[in-house]
Amino acid sequence: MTGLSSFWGFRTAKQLVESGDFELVVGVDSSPPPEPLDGLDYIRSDQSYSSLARLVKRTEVDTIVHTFLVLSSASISRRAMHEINVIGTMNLLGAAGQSGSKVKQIVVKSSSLIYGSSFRDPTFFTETSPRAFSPRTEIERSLIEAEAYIQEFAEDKPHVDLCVLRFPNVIGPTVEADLSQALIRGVAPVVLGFDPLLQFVDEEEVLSVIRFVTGNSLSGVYNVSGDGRIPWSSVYTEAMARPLPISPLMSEQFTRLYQALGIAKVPRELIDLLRFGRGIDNRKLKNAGYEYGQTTSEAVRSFAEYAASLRSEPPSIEEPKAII
Amino acid sequence: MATVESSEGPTSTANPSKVTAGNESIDSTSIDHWGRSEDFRKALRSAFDPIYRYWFRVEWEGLDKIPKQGPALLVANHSGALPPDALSIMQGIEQGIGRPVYGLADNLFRTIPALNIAWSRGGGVSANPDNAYRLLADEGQLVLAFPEGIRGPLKPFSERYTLRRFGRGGFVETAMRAGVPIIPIAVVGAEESMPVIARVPIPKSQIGIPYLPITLNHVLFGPVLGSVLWFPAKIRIRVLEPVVIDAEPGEARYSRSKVLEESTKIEELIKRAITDMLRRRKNVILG
Repeated sequence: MTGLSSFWGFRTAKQLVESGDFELVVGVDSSPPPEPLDGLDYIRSDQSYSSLARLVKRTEVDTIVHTFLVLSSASISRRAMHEINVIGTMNLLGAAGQSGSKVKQIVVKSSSLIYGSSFRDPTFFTETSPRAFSPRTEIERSLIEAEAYIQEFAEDKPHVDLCVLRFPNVIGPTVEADLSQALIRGVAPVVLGFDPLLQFVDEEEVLSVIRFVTGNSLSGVYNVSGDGRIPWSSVYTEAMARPLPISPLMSEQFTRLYQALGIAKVPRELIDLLRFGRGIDNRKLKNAGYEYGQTTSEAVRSFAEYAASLRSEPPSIEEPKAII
Repeated sequence: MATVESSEGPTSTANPSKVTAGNESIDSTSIDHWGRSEDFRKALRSAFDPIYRYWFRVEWEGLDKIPKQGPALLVANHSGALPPDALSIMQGIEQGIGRPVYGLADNLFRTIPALNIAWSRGGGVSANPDNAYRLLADEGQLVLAFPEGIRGPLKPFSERYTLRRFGRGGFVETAMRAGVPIIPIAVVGAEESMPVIARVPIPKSQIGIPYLPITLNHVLFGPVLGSVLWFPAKIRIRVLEPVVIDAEPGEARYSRSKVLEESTKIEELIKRAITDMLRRRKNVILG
């Protein structure tokens, strides 16, 4: 497990430990997990996993679950993002591929962000669809670089099952994802004159997909998303969130202004998404045998209910966690 | 080819009274994953109906050749600076047959604020081969395409009813791959609804249109009204015999010469129909 102390790392590790299918679950991170867990070993490493090689050798792990790719530029520096996504993945693969390694499967949690978002896109990206334009944001570039290493590794080590999962926007009560958090706060960024169709998965579904592929010797790239797409306006209306208008022209300047004024943080990679939306074709994973628990609109509905209920309660005295 | 998608069939006009679980007010139930909203289409149809019926007095020939079920790629000529043909064809089929029509259009629509929403809810889909394939092969829909693209509506009035190049035959290739019939459709009258009398080149155009069309409507009604007010030309739409191309579906690549040959054949069919329809037409307004 990489990024043990992160949201996904810890939740996934917990799930794997509880499943009882694994003899030993080892988690690496630069800080200890939020709570100790029976059957889970924590090993300290730096952010770019340079010490992983020794660990892989010593523990003879056969499965690596890499959930620590950074998928939002909202609260991380370019450098740190590069270090984690690109160098981290490179070191991880290096460790997994060294001679004497027992690694049989690597599962990587990636994002549909890798397809970008533009007016030229197909309505549904398949796993092999190319991007319409070269990436303009750092986060997309780093994901592409990371996945390129993964692709290379898959070619060099065909005996290792390399499974890349590309998720759309994740929503849920606890996940630290931009749109999810925005809906919980009740402020939804909206590019005026656009109402993109989006896909969502619930945080529980993410875990269940990771669980499905781990130990299932699935390899290749898989898009993950519940059926259907939903207009952003329906999502924030249902969640009773207030739209935060972004001008269709000079959108970036607008979002920077909002950020400077402390109103909201809208990372750059979200602007195009809020304009053109994105759809990914989820049929490959279905054909591999996975049954989705929820469609996009079911996921949105239950989450929106939760998000709306948070705000219909009387305002709490406790100070807001952070200004958006 | 059977429908692959199971749980999310495209919303169709067949079940307008779709029962939703619970009593949620979410309006997305009527919006399918392409962005088409049957509710919006209904509103659009009732708004366009008087224009369709009394202004253009649209008349169909061979509407029964459009299949009641199963996929088909409808291919038509495209004209008039603000082309009324797409709206008219969609209107006629949706009212007459009760099947949704997805209109493939240049993705430049997606960049225009507000219009992009109306376009998408109104059944517009980016003219992308993957989109067309999925609609046809996997979802069994009716798809309307104008192979002339934007060049059709932008051509000067002096060249009316001469067809622009049918792209590179991409529509034929998609139909072959999906294994669906192509139904050629000839439209007469749209040319005269908004004739282009001059074209102002847009240097280094960023918006995908090489010219700004100046129409007779602009001259008579001014720049604003003239951009939306059509002349009441009589529109006739003739549906030709479906063309089934003899090719194995699902191939990764088809012979370029075969594709071009079929494309030219369909172009010829439409041209011949237009010539015939023009010969029978006595008057632009009265038909």
